[in-house]
Amino acid sequence: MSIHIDNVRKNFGTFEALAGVSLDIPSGELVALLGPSGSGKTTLLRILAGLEAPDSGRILFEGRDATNDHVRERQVGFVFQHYALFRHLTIFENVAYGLRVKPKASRPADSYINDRVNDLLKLVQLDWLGDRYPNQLSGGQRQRIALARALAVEPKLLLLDEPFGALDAKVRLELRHWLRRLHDDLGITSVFVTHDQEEAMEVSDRVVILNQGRIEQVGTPEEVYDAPASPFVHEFLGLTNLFTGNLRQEVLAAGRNIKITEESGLDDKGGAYAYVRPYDFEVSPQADGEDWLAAELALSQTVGNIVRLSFRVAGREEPVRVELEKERFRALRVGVGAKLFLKPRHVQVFSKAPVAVETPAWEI
Amino acid sequence: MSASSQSSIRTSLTRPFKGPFKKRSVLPGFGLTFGYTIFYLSLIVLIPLGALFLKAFTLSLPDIWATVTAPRVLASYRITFGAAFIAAVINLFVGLLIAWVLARYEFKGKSILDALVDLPFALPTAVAGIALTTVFSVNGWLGAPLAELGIKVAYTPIGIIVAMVFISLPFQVRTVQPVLEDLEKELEEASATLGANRWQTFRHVIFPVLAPSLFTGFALGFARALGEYGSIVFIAGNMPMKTEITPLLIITKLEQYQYAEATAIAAVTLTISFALLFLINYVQWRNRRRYSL
Repeated sequence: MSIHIDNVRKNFGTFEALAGVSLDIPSGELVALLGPSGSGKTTLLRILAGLEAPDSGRILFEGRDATNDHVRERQVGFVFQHYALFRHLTIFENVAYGLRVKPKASRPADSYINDRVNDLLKLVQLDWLGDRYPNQLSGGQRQRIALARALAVEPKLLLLDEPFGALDAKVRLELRHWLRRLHDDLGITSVFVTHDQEEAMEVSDRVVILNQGRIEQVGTPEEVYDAPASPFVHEFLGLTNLFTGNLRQEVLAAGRNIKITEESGLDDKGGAYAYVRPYDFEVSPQADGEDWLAAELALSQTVGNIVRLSFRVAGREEPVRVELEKERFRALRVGVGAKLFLKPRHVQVFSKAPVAVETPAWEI
Repeated sequence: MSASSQSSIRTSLTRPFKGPFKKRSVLPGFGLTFGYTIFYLSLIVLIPLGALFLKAFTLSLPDIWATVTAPRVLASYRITFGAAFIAAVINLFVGLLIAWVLARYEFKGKSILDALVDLPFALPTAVAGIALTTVFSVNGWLGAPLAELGIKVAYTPIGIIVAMVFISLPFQVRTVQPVLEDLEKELEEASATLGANRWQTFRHVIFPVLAPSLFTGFALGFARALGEYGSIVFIAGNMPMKTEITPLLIITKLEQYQYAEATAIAAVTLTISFALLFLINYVQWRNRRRYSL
């Protein structure tokens, strides 16, 4: 089912949760709503479900205005972060619930319900748990049951509110892949909310990045990552280093000069904000040119195959964070206190000031 | 893993524990606290009740039987248990309604309403009885219009029920209210997204969660109503065979120095009450086990 969201606004008291959001979701897509807490992503999802009413704006399903449709008429499946399973019902009855509460005229026969529930339990690979109660299941199993329950009524739209948020890292990873495969098999238009950029990038066809009730960018995971539309998007999608200064002839004067090799699209004058990801640095024991930053290694921390380095650069308060492969770091044969030179391989430049953002930082 | 293999693991795990009674625990002080609990319960509950039974058995068995099955006594059981049951059923609905309003809506004067619910706890029962009698007598504010409709409340079994409803209402409200307040909104939302209407959501999602607390409130209210004496004697009229409750009958026997008879009747009431409460607790326990909550 295709969805058209037209200038939707929502306030909670004085808090502006959605400040005019418009979005098109083509049929069959798996879309991630990504943003920090308070960005309005869950509110948007709940408005799509009909669990919240927008203050203004319209929601169209297949071109039909569904803004005022009651939640039970919308034919959406909703999966909650904390599963919301009915704990007094068996797993089987939880999944059967949506079929059993149908009006008498359209309620399927018991034998059909039986087959359908068993099929769904097989689909989520938990058909051996039908007679258990929710409290006897693990978190990952409960969330799969919650998904089976949502799918039982054959929804035209599947909405998932931080579906893996309450699960531990390993289960989360498993379920992500599993959700992607399930979506590919069933082809139901799906929207899921997450604050985990990695999850959004990995699972979705398209990512919608929200901030303070507004959409910052819509695009495929590659698009938003490679060409972020705003400093916010760049900062939100991962750890980064910010250099501020004035741009002159493709050189950012920022304490030390940084050569902007990318097409920045900015005119050569005025303030600029340049971002370099930690893995986008060359590290060398000597400088062979002008555009190298002299830096002193302050800290190093090995995480698996990656070494996270923190450099002190003169005239700069913030450390410069760099990631190197373990082999390459070893080849440098240096330790903390070493004087090295850094050169950005890839720089993203914005003329707009970045907004404060909670980045998922590693601290060293 | 099948259920049976799981339970066999459980039994093998429990085997190393010392004896059938005490489980090894990281919390210290089991012996002391358990000992004190038993001591205290004995002093306050078990010993007086034991004495009651001992006193009753100073009569011969046929005498006991004759005492506790006398027509006037049987009539008092009927009126006491019957009225208490009806009152508990009324409170089941009214109490749920009040708890629902207090738990789910925000409105002006909510805290006052909330405090009013506890009033029957605090009010001396005699005061309640006199107030209810005044209001519900044929000349009273409510009694007069009801009398015109042909309904007589004071000095009838209806009066007993009214008094019992009054004094046991807080038990029902206060047991259901916290459960309603803790009810996850998401459960209702999940039900709605699955296509259920409000009634189906209440019937299949909210009610099963509330049922244990409704049941507990019912049991507490019922037990409270059974033991009530102070407020009922004023409104009941106390006509033997008609509106005489068992606690009053016990007092009457005591006043006539028939201590053994009084305790025999008390013992019967006690046994029935205990059996009912035990049954209710058992049902609760079984339900909890079933959902492994």
